[in-house]
Amino acid sequence: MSQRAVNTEALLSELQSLEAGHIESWVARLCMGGPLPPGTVAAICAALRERGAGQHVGRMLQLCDLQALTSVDALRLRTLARAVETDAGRPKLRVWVTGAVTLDALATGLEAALLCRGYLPEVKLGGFGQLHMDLRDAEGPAARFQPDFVVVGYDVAGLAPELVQARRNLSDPAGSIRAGVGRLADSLTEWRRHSNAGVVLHTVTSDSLWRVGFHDYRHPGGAAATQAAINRALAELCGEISGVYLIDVAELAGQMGARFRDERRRLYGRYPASADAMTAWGVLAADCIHVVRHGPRKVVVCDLDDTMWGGICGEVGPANVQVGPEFPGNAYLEFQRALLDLKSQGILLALCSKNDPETALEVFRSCGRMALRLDDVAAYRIGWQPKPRLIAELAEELNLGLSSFVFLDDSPQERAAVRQALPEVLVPELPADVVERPAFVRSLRELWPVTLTESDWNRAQVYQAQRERERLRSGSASLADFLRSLGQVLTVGPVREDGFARVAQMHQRTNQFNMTTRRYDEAALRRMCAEGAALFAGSVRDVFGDQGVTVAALVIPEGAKWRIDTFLMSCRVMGRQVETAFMGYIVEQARRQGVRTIEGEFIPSERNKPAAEVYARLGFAGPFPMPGGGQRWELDVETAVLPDVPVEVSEM
Amino acid sequence: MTGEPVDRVVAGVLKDLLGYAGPISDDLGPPDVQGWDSVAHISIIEELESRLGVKFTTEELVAMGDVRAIKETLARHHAREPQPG
Repeated sequence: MSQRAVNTEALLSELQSLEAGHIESWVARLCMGGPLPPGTVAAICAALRERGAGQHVGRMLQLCDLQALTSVDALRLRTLARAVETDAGRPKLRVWVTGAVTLDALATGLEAALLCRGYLPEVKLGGFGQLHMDLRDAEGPAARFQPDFVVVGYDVAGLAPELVQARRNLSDPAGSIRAGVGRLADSLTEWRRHSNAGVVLHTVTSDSLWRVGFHDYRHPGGAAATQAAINRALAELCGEISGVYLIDVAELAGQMGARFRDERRRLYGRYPASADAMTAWGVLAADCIHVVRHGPRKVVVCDLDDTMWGGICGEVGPANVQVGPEFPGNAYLEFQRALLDLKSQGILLALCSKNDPETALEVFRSCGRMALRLDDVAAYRIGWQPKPRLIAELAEELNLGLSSFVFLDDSPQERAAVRQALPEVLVPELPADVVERPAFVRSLRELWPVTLTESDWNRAQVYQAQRERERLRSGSASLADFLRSLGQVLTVGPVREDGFARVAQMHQRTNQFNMTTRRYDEAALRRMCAEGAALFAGSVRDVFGDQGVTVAALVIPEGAKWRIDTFLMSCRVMGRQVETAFMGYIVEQARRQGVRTIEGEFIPSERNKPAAEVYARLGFAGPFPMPGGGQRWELDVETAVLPDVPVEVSEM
Repeated sequence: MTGEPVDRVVAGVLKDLLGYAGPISDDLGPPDVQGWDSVAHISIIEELESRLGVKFTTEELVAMGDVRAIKETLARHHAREPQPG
């Protein structure tokens, strides 16, 4: 729906007529225009290869509009990309696909999508119907492959054959559902014994279930009730075994309508859905994996005139912008509600507008029809400077990397400017038609969470308190005065049963103050703790509020030494000497247990420069080079004296 | 229905879907082309359907084991089509 009109033939003949030296700038210009249809991307990639310019294929792949990917496009893209030397430095990702149905088109869609998302994927398809063997056999092909993720596919017949075959318990399907989902749970439990790979399950459709005509919704054994019960059981399973995720294929089927089913493939090929649906299913799984790996993007920066509301507030006046119960105002109102839904999911909202600040802010104050209020907004930049500069300032104020940002603007020119100047920012093609925009915002999967914790609900408040702190800081004579006036208290201790989810989330989300960027999920953290590691975490509160759990470290005891495997802190509390107080607590614990040395590691990444000096500042000796890159630092526990900091430490 | 020779259409489909660029003969079938398995077969025949503007039955799809069978099935479809004029 958001695809720009593209003349593939014209683009190809343009490319043919270019001199070799101009190809790079031609590709760069295409990138400014945003996503392209997959067929166009495949054709251009093939032409680039023929021109001996295969090094640009990786960049072209990122332009692919994956929501429009067909099974044929996916095959073409995969074949092309496999044959081309994809740029070095792409993160490798190993995915095992297994199930109880034919999944080749899913695997192809998944691989094409991961390629387009910037990975170097290795996707392997297990033998047909080997789901339970693959998961249970610690020496089997799936386990030996050592995947990072397993994507599982089934239909109702494959998951709970009792429901489809015997028709014994039509009035009470609960027993058959328990048996089917229970079998899967047992296999996943076995899998967890020998692998920490994340597992992607999916909801089922009701296609093959008994549909009791007009009475269906009222019958406990009807298709609607049975489907709901199966999917609820699958969701509960994800809550019981960590590192298991559920993608909503039933919802995908609803979106695709008649294109989802394909009786030829179902009955001849054992496909649970059409080839294009299986491709879209693979893309959905790839998007889920991407968010599990990187966390969702954290900030939506939104333009105001003709994006947040209809009309130019400086021309029509702040009280007269289009927003409200009638069209087109209702489309803008729904757009604002979609943004507020994102806020409830922990996404920060920011504003960026070329406007007179007073006039634009007056809309929030005086237009009573708005759903979004100024206190929903974490930060704003309104002025006449170029938008890339305003967005860079927002990143600085919120203390977040630009790769956490999404930018929504109705103007193709502004979108192109931001894409060119700030390539890390995701700039989707906001539909020109306002009625399509609310659903479009909700469909941006890079903003979809895989878990929600309590700290997501109040993230915006936390950032508002941050602004108050900044004001106090600028009024304080010195940094020391400012920190003392905050009255900081660090509550610290070993992570309890209910704390793993948040600490795992920090491992996924934290980039800047992250000493090793080892992204353990909840399953891995629990396993390492069961094997003797210690996981410490601290929450910080001050006069402006409670920032929640914001600092954590995973400590591996190795004889008389403690090795700090991960040490990370949320950017919310950076620059407030919390890490010093936290390390003081760890040193104290080490002393109590007779530990002689604490070893810290620093592995540089593109984004953790702010953490480079931490161990030096804390008095660790080093750096000593580590095999395979990185630095090792050492602290003698007996003689260690950490700097005195204005943070009160309270043990949990 | 396009006027393009069937061999050329088959060659295009095999190249796009499986990266096959070898010669096309009447005997060419799944054993001769890497990746032409029973699952890819459905995609290949469906792509032919779309490029040739025909719709095969699933039983025909299953029976089309080489290029010759594809041509014969197509010829049967043409014979069934109402003739213009």
